Amino acid sequence: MTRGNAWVGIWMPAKPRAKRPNYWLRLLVLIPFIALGWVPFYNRVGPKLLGVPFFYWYQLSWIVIGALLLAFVYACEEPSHREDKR
Amino acid sequence: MNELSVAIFIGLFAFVTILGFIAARWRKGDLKKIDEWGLGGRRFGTVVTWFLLGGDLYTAYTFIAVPALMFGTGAPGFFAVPYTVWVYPLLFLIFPRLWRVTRENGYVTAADMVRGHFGNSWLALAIAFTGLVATMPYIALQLVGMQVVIGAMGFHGTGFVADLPLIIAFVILGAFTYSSGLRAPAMIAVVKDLLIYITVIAAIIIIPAKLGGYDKVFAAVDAAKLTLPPPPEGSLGSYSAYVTLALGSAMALMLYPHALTGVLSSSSEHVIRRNAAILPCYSFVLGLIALLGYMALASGVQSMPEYADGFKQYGSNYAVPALFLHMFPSWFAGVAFAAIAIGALVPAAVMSIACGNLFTRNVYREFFRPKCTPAQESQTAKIVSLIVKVGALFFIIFLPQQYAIQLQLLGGIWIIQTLPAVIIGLYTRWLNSKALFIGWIAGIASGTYMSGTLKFAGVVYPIEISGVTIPGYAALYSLAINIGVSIVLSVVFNAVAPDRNAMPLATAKR
Repeated sequence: MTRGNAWVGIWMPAKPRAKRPNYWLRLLVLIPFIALGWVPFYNRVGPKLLGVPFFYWYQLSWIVIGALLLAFVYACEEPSHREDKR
Repeated sequence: MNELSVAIFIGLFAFVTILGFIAARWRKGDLKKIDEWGLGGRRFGTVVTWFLLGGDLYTAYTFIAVPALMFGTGAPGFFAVPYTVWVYPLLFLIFPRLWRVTRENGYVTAADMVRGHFGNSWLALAIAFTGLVATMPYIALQLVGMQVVIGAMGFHGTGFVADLPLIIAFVILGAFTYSSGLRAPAMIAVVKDLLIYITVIAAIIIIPAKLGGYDKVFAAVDAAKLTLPPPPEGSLGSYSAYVTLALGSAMALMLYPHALTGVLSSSSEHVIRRNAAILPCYSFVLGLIALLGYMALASGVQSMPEYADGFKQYGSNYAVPALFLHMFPSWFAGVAFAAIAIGALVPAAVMSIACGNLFTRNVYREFFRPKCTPAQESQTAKIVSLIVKVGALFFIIFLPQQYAIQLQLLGGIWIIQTLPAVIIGLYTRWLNSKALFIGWIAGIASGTYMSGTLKFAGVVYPIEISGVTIPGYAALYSLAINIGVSIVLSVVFNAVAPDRNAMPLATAKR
């Protein structure tokens, strides 16, 4: 019985996804607020990267990570917005 | 004066001038309508919006002032990085909704939206007024950025002659903004941003190589300035100042009329979401530009006799221009200076357009000519955009530069006071418009007072909670007062005098 249902799940086309964006996923974009909000963690010189002190390269790298998180959440939400006009 | 760099500078400037006028025909629309002139017809796609918002938010003054701050004070100046990281989650989460509401109701400004949501034209006037007052010194500061590079190229003179290049640049700016509206800065932003990227990439490769690597660059910085000073006993010191400055600035930035104008001109919510993920490219560039301040320290330009005059006149704002003059061949210095000067045109144009939209929609049409035609509306906005620019020019030529800087600092504190009505109003109508109005007054008054105790020279105000001093950005503290007053008074007013004309939230949703 259970097994049969599982097969149906595989072979039947998935239902279109709900229109509401996944709000749990959106919490990801708030991570940079924690990472850069706690100053004592990164207010130090070492370890250096290519001669750049930690204070600087840590914060610069969060620009990139923050952008990737936004791109990831956007990509995950995109199917739920397909019907919108571009 | 170096002829080659001046020639390149003038050539690039002439090129964008032509672009500015051609822009009127780009994606042609009826410029006699305010949302065609003032919002580019709301048709900008992902790429154009990326260039426009990038060119608009990262202003010429930023490119001069941020490295100058690093040059002068060290690590505290790097708050620009968390600031520009935190802007984008806010843009991603909140502004697509704002875009949708404004599009569905034909709003052109944030004050339009507040007017529609709460049905209170006085609250809308307060929002519009805040936007106008906060933006004008910001336009003036763009001129400061331009002045520094014009000075660096060796234009010196006395009286009227000294200001002539600036006046010419602003006449050009005024003319193409008048004729083409938001299309002009959108098109010019492409050139500006490409020039900025080229300059910065060249700078971070060539300059450290000449100085002997990043190790040497950071070694030139005073060890105490390389990180934030550890807070003294019983205080959160520089830590809370750093974080609150970054957070408050991020919240304030998106409320500025020029930021909203850029957001509202995009063609869909997707364009805004996508841009939240790709605009951080500019943040990265800004982070690198901040480091130019340290490179200027390491190069020793401040003690070279040929730059002594410049430092005397422009202070640490001269650090980056001096560095470019010292490190780049003269033709490339011309390119770099053109990048900064054109970088001043884009935000100045968008800011003046935003002011034109605000005045027309929320003062002229609301209080003087409720039945004006679309053509009258757009004509008024055009004229106001000119007046605002002339005002900024007078400000810079006739008043000490310090006034513009102080007013811009206050502007950040003022503009954030529009957050409860503009942003919270997107999600709930429970707040009462009269309560929001009094909250706005409380926020403006307390924020100005806090800055006043610092003699308007700073914005980091120390508050004390159970024996611990927490220095923080006055904008955030006064915003807390604003929100507190708005909530408490909403309880009272909703019982006694509820808003009669508020639009129910349901109609604002899709």
